[in-house]
Amino acid sequence: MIVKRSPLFLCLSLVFSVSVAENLQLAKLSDIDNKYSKTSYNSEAISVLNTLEERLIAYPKDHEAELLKAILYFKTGKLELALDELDKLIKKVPDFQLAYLLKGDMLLSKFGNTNNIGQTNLLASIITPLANNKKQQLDFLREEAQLRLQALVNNKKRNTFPRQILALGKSVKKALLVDKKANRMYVFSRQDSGELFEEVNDYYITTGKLIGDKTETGDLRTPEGVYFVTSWIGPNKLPDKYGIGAFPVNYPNELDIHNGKTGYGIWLHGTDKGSYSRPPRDSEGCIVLTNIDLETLKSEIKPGLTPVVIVDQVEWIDYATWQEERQTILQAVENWRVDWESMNVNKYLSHYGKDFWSATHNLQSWSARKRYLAKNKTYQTVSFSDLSVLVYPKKAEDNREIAVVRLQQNYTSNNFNSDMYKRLYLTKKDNDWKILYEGR
Amino acid sequence: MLRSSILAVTVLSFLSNTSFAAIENSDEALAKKFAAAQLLSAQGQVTQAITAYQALINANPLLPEAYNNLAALYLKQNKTNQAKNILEQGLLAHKGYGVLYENLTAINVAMARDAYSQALQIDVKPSDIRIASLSLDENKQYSEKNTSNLSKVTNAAANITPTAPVIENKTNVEDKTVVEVEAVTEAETVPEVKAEEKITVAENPAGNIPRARVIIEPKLMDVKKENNIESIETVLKAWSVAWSAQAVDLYLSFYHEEHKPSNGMSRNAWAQSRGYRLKKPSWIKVALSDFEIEKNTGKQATVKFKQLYQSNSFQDVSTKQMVLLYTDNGWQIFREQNL
Repeated sequence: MIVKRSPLFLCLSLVFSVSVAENLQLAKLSDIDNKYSKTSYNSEAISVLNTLEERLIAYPKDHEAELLKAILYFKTGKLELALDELDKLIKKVPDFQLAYLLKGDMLLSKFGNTNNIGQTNLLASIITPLANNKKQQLDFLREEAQLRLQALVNNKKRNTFPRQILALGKSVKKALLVDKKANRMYVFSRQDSGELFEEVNDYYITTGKLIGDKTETGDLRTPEGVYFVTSWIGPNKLPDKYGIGAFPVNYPNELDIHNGKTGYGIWLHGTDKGSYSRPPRDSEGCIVLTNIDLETLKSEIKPGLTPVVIVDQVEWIDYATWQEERQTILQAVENWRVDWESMNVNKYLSHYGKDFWSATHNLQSWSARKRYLAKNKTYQTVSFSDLSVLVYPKKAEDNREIAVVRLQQNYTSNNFNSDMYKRLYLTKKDNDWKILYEGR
Repeated sequence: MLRSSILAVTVLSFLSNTSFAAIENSDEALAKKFAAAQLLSAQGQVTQAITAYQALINANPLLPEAYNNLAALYLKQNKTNQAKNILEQGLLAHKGYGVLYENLTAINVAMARDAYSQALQIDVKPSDIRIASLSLDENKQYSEKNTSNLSKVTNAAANITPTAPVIENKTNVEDKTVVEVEAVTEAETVPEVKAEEKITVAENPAGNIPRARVIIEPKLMDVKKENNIESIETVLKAWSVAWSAQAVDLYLSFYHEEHKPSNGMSRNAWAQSRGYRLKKPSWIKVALSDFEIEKNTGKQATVKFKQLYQSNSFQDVSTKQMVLLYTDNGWQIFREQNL
């Protein structure tokens, strides 16, 4: 099995050092003369710049990359280039507030400290007489800047794989992975050649106003779990604040309902006009993208198919560990299939956990039903295809490990045939994956 | 053709006239070219004035006033970035030249303020920043021949700003917010900005920064008719601007070569005395009104007007009568007397 990663990705992960990232905050520029033109880029700065250029080639509307380029220029003393970059950006995205903030800082950098974003005396004098919400707005912009910078840093650090996505079925072209802590959404694509995927891009996102997993209606939190996009709602059916439209997801899912979680209307949606992006934690639980990013992704997101895995922090693991996790779960599903086909009901039922449930059964009634049905079978064949495996973070849900498997099941027997999509929740018990939930 | 356009063409051809090559680098030629650019600017011929100043800079890259005035013109066109770039260029040629630095500070602060307002979605109108034009300091020699003097100039400028007006506030700003800028002389100080009605440069405690001064430039762009009344008025307003700007050569250039001073002085003595009187006050403001053409043959005209003269030491309202002659260079002052 070959894992496809872009060559750039590998080369960057080799040359990257954390110190560059930490130095990426705005530095003091003290003088107006051209001494900075004597400073050459160091190799680290060049590699970061290359990353950003590559990002722009892959996604020309990656306005974050343009913003980061300006910061990088500024940091390496190329103030004029930095301001040019910001001016070009502002021309393209006239409502990118963070770009304006950085422009203000950079313009003043000749006259005093610009040790950090949005901390000039001028800005303080503008802000002081204003209402508190403007001060908060400034804090949000600073945080947005930090998150966007951090994402660049993290991206370069990571030559690893997300434990949350272990397999994507052939009908599933893309998977979305949301890291709440990083305010980031990663998009993974399934390769035509097989089950493996590569990261295409990642995006700054806004999440719920409050930190933590959603448990009830109106708690202003973004739920954590494995979800699927259910539909698309166009802008003409929505208030302005949803921007270019919305993809609702299936919160509360089967597990959420089972655990008594409430709430509704968790959507992936765009941004109100007048702002390019929203503060990091600003929604009532929805995941908010910029309109430009959502427009780009829109055609890739398929209602009923595209998974949206939302976690507090993505678990990035190395390739070997990722393969091991993947194989363990795929093997557990295969063992269940083989035992089911074998007509040995006890073996088949051994794959179900004690707290198994379905829409109409618990383990006891399920077992009884299956034993009853088995009596009239002379043969049966079971085959699976289009398998996706998506995994909750390890610490989630009563500290149990939980995986969601979506598959197409073809069943034939002497008295009954069926072809259907199924959704399984598996849980790990004593190093063994057991079925926790089975349904359509 | 508009009177002012004729003037503009004349001035431009003067600037580009290669027959002046022989005296290209003399201070006198430089001053004349500078005065010509000032005239264009005063007449509202912004595009031509920009060309003129740019030509001056190309020929004399060490002329800080030209950078300043060119930046002032770009600001008039709301080309803030270009104004900023020109001042930065000027500062490369003249490290530490106070006025350029202060004006650049003012522009940066105004731009930063606008950017911050956008960042925080504060509903304010964009800053309308203007900087004042500078006149050449005639005690200094700028031409490249005089390098010894030049280095003296630049060294002196390193700490002390010249005795020139710094920042001008456009008077018609009712519909725009303008920022007040506190000048910064120490690089460590971040300028404070308050929403106020005008731009002034505060006096530095050490006294290094010249007084802020308001120059009102007459609006001449709206001269529409090719009417002698208006073209005479245009010329005289330009004359008053030259006087206000204390640009002696430019001021004298409005007088016919046969001009006879009313007090019987010789023309040379008169010119010398005028030069002295123009330069003596630290500032002058002349405003003209109530033009009345008493006679106009097309070759000779008699005009009466009210003249408000103000300086730091004297103020006077008078009625003047002038006889102007139409020459190849347009209307020129032949007689001048107070009524």
